[in-house]
Amino acid sequence: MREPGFEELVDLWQDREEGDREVFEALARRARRRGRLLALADLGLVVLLVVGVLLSVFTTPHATTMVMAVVLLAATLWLSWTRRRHRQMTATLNTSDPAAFLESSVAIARANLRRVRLSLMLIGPLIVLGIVFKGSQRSDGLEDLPQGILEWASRPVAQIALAVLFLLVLNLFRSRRRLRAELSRLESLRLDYEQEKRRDDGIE
Amino acid sequence: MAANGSKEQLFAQVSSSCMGLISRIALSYEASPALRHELVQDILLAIWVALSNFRGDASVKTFAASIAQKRCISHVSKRAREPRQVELSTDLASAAELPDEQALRNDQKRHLVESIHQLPIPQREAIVLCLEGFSYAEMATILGISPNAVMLRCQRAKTTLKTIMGRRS
Repeated sequence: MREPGFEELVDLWQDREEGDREVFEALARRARRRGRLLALADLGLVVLLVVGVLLSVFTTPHATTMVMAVVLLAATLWLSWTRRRHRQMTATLNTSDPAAFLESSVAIARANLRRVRLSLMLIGPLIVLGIVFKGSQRSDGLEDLPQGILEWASRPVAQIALAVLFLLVLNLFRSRRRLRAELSRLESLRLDYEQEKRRDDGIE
Repeated sequence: MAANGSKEQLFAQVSSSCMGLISRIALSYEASPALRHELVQDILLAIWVALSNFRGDASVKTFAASIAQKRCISHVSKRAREPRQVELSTDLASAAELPDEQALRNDQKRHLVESIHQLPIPQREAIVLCLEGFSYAEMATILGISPNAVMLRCQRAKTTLKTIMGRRS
């Protein structure tokens, strides 16, 4: 293959309009919609909490209250997560310096990894404490505790709760692995930038 | 800081004038078409969010390129798996039956993109901005280094790119 000069490479590179305009404009519309939704997230959270609490107070059956609580919990978690991502995005984009950008990305990844590690350290003892607490409600003393735990664990609600907790723990392990990989990539990228900067300064 | 009305106008300006720029920057970091779609979407969302802080110090094109580069770096670092050499999709080329010259040109395009993917990210950033026709001063704003350092980095990136292209062909 003939090796083109740089001007030819520029022509080659700019020759293509990657993807068609309609698809791009649809993506732009979607991004704008998502941006507006994120801005409304705070207000939405407040409205949802107020409506949810009012409904919970005025609804007598326990099952509905439980469902409402689960919906509220899920909505709060989702909104907190998206707002967190939103905040991180703006925090790291406002700097024009890639070194500072990488620095803040590394700091965020480290903080996330610390949070996941802490959750992993605490979740085991907390699950055990919860099981013991539930078992103790069904037993008269320490001798009856294993029996109480087995009795509680045989209930479908307990099995569902344990399955959810198991999935949560698995997800925490997955997050830890992903965050470690991300951190290692960011750190190697930081080294690349430092090396490139040394070359820019004529040190290497 | 951009007011809400002007934010809409600026975003419309970005989406109408920077389509090629954003798509090509995404292409220089992501070979898979599906993931590239997501990446373009993320870049556009990031631009929408960041437009609130746009003060007009640089052109909209420079602003969009700067954000696109950073989102791409985040994308690369967050990738679930290590990137592998993906055979670039045929959307780089025309689906119609191609005359020899067109086929050769499409081959060269694919060859160029694959070679850019092999550059270290600091050099990739610089070469993509060079290929997009940014001036050294604009590149200095985007990369946060002096115009002189930009010039040196571009020279190194061009040399590395030519070496990779030569080796691959």
